[in-house]
Amino acid sequence: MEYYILFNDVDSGLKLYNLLKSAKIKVTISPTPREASKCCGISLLIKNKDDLPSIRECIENNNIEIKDIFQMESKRDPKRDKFC
Amino acid sequence: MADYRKMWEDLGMDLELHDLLCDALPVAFGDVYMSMENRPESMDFYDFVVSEIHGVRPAELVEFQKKGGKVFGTFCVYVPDEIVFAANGIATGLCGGSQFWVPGGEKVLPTNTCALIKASVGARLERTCPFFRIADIYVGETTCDGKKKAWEILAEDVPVHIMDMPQMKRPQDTAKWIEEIKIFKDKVEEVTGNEVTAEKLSEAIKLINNKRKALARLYELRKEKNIPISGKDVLLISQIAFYDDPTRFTQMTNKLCDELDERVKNNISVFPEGTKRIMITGTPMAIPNWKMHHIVETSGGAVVVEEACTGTRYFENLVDESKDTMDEQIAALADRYLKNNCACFTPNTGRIDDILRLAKEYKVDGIIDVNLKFCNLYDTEGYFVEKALKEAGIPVLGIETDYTDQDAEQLRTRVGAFIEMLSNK
Repeated sequence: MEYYILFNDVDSGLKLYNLLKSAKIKVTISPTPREASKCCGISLLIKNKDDLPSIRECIENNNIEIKDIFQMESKRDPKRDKFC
Repeated sequence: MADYRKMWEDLGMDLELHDLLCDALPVAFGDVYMSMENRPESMDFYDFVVSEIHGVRPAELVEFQKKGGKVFGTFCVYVPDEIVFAANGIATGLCGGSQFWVPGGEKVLPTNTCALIKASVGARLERTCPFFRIADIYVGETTCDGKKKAWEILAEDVPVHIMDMPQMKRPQDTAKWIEEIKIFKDKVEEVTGNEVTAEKLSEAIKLINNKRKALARLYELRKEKNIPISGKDVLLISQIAFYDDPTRFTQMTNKLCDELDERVKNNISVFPEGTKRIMITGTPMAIPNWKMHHIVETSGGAVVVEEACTGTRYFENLVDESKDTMDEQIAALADRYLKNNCACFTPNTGRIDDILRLAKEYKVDGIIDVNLKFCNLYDTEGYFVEKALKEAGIPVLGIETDYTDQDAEQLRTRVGAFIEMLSNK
C-alpha cells in the first residue's frame, strides 16, 4: 500500500516537503497518480507508513493546507516497459 | 498540485487530448524512476521539475512574457542560447520525446520520418504541450532533411527562424557559421527589441558556461569505480537542462554534485560491484524518452556516459570567456559550437575520436549505438562507429528503435545478451 499527500498548490507541497526533510521523515516528490486526481502536479509519496502520525502532526502544527492523503495499491513495475 | 487548466486553456491547448498524456506520465515515471533504490536525495529537485513538467516552468515563462519577455523554442545543441539570454530573452528546448505526440506529426509528415521530428511537430499541431504553445518563435536549423521540411510545415502555424548549418568544417564553413550567428543575433534583437551588447553577451557566455561546467562536474563523477548516480538519473538531468532556468539548474546540479562527492568519499555506488559499464552513443533522447537507459539499467548494465546531444555534446568545450568585442565573442561562439560532432557533418571523424576517448575516460565495458529509426545520418554513420570500435576491441551493439513500447521485449533480449557477453569476456 502507498500513501500520497495531495495539495491544492505547489507551494504547500514544497513547504511540507522541506519541513519533513528537516525532521528526517522520508518522503519523495512524485507526480500525482491519476487515480488520486486529474490535475498534473506534485504529490508527496510517504516512504514508511509508520511515519503517517508524525506527518499528520507536522501538517497540523505548521498549518499546511493539504487536499488529501490518498491511499492506493502500488502498481509500480520496472519491467512493465510502458513508456510515455 | 496546482490546477493549471486555466493557463493551458489560455494557451489554446487541447485539454481533453492533453489529459491522456497526463495519464501516462505518473505511471511511466513511477516504473522508471520511483522504482530505483538509493537515489541521491538531491534528485528531489529534478523529480519536482518532472512532476510539475507542464506547470511550474510554463507558468514562469508565461509570467516572463506578461512583462514583455520573449521565449525562443529551440531543437538543437548548435543553436547558441547565449545570444538569446544576452537579449534578455529565454531559450527553451522543445524536442519531443514522447510517442504520444507521434501520430499528430504523422498527419502531416511521412511515416518514415524520425520519431523526434514527428513528436515535435505533433506536439505543436495537436496543441498538447504548453512549451510549444508558449514559445514566441521557434529556432530551427538545417541539421537534417526531415527537420528542414518540418520547419516549413511548422512555419504555417508559428514564426520560425532557421539557422543554416554548415555541412563541413573547413575554414570557409566556420566563416559561414559566424555569419549565421550574426543573422541570428539580428533576429533575436528584432524579436526582443533589446540590443545584444558585448557586455550582455559576455554575461550570457558565463551563464551558459557555468551550466556546462556543472554538467561536466556531474559527468566526471560517473568515471568513478563506485558509480554514485544512475545513468537514468543523469539522463533526466540532461533533459531538464534544456528547458529549466540556467542559473537555478546550475545551482541545483552543483548541489547534487556536492552530495555525490560525499558518496564517492564513502565508496557508495548505486550499482552492485561488477555491473557492466555502458556508453550510449547516437541520436538525442528528448524528455520523456527514458526507454534505452531503463532497459540497460534493468538488464544488468550501468550507463556511465552518453555521447549524444542529451549528453557530452551539450556541455563539452566552453566558449572562450576572454573576448570582449562582439566580433571576437561571436567567433568564440562559432568555434565552440562547431566543436560539436554531429552526423550532419561530412566527414565526421571527430565523433569517432570522441567515442574512443570517452570509452577510455569512463572505462566502459561496452557501447550501445542507439539510433532513432529513419535517422538516415546516424544510421549510416553507425557503419564507421561500429568499424572503429571493432578495431579498438570495444564490444558494440547497434540498435535502431523509436518511442513505441512494441520492441521493448526484443530490446531487453538483445541488451541482456550483450551484457551477458560482456560478463563472459
